[in-house]
Amino acid sequence: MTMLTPDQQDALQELMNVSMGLASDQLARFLDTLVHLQVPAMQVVRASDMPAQLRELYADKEAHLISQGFIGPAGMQGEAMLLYNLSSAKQLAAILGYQQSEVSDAEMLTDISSILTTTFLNSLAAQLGSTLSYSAPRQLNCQNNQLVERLQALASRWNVALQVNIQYQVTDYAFQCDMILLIPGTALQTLQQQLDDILQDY
Amino acid sequence: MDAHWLAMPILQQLNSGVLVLSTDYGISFYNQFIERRLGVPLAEVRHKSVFDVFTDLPEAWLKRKLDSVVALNAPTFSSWEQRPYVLKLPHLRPVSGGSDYMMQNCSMLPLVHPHTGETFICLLIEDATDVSIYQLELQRNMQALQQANRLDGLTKLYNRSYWEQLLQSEVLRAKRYHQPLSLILFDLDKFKQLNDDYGHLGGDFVLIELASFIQSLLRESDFLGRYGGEEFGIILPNTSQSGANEVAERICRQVAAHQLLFNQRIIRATISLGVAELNPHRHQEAHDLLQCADVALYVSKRQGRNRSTSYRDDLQKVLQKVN
Amino acid sequence: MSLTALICDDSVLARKQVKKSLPEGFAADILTASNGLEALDILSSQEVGVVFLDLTMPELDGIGVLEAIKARQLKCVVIVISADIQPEMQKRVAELGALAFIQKPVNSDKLAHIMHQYGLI
Repeated sequence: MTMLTPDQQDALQELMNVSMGLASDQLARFLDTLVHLQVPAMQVVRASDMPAQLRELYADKEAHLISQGFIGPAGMQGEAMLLYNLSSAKQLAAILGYQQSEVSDAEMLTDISSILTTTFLNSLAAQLGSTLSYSAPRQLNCQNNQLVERLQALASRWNVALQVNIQYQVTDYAFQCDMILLIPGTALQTLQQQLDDILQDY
Repeated sequence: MDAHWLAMPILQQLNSGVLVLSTDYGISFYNQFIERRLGVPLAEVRHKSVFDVFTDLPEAWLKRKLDSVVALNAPTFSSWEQRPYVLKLPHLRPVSGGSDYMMQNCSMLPLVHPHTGETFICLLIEDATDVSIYQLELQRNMQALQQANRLDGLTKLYNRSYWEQLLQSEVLRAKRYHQPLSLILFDLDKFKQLNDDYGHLGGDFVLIELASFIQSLLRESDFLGRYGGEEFGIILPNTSQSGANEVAERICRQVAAHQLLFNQRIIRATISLGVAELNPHRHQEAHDLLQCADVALYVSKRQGRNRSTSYRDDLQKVLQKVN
Repeated sequence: MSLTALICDDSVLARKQVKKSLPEGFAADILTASNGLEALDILSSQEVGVVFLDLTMPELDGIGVLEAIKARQLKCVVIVISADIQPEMQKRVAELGALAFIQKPVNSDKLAHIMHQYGLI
């Protein structure tokens, strides 16, 4: 399978950094608090290799998996997954200013994930000269050791995984989550074309 | 073909609700789907606040959602599984049972007016009532099925396979948290005799009655299961051997004193019990604990029934002597 | 007078984007560096008028470059171009003597406006 060339990899990383900057700016304004998001590492892997890599990261921890589908023009489509490793989802929600009585845990998690996913992907798509539509986010149940099985089931439907480790910093509290964009091979080709176009523009 | 004329008729006949709000929550538009269920013509409420027109809206929650759509220029969603409905509307399933209102999936999308650049929020309302009803039925059936899978048909106690699963997980839990765990196995004495004297119906009656009687003597946290024909087991989490001995002796006494009335005849039944405590170092698995309790039970029977025996290492020798 | 400009960013794309966004009237020799150390090498070997500086970079980040420029009292002016736009970071950068802070993706009008403001064009 052809993955990204070094130039494409560089361009995508840069676009993602910029998207994260824009997303955290928007989030900070919306939540009226200091939000800082960073993308220290992005890698493109075969979808089938992804579960094993994440198994290590989330071993023995309570993982929350939220999935949201996205689709754009020219075959760009996929599934954005946010993977949290939090002992308590409530903590995250409290940091982001949610009243606990207002909403259930599941709703808070899907809400926060959806905001993060859509603001980030919207910024990324805009830089690629495109737009995306989204399906409703869903929380996938993955208690105990089901995470890897879940990921394997998801991975089998897609070819390529863009694995993005995101570091959040909200006010004085920092935590991490992983965003995994699962896309089919055809969408990777579209992405490569878009990256090449941008590289050619400059 | 010029497709522009299509938009309005399709919007009106769409089998989903479309509600468009201004950024200050005023109603700009809703389609026929909503208009007919709400029973209020759009012209009457145009520009009124959505919170004045629809009753029981979760105001703080919805404002937060709508504000996020505008501020982030990104969609947001609400699922019936988390929040049954956003707009309180009737559904068209009069005999459905369950909820009186339409279950909804709602997408809230940012819209920008092509000429003025003004931002609006579009709420797409999908009727999820059918789905929710199927899901509820499915859940009920699954639960019933799961329950049925776990229970013994005659006594309604846990059946052997589920009880053994419970024992295994309790053994693991006790080991992990360094808590005591005890086990009682017991047998109905002279069951064959009972069957001969009172018929199989009488035998079954005794099993059913004793099961519910003994269950009533236990704590919520104890697990009573039917292990075999007339053999039963009790898992006692967080209980030491001496605590379990007391429980076993009490059950033994009370069963012996309990009178069962079957076809106007009084049946007195007794049981023999064996008690063992988990030894986390020597018992690798649930099976090892079961074996200890079984040895103790065997001793009870050998020594004349209607009694309880606590497992000790030298019981094997006692057994040999009796033999 | 011929001005020399240095674009310092670890991303090839970002360097190209900055280069392309420079206003038309801006006639300068353009040098590039892909991290802070490379930038400092260039700054110490030749006179550079303006530095377009990214913050998040390997080897030596933008803050490190600003600190070195301040410590060595180099004459160049610095315009920070970064995706990381936390207010604290902006404040820090300003304290270290950066002229302006521009959010990525760089907008050519905004860049021209700032350069005009500071008499660079």
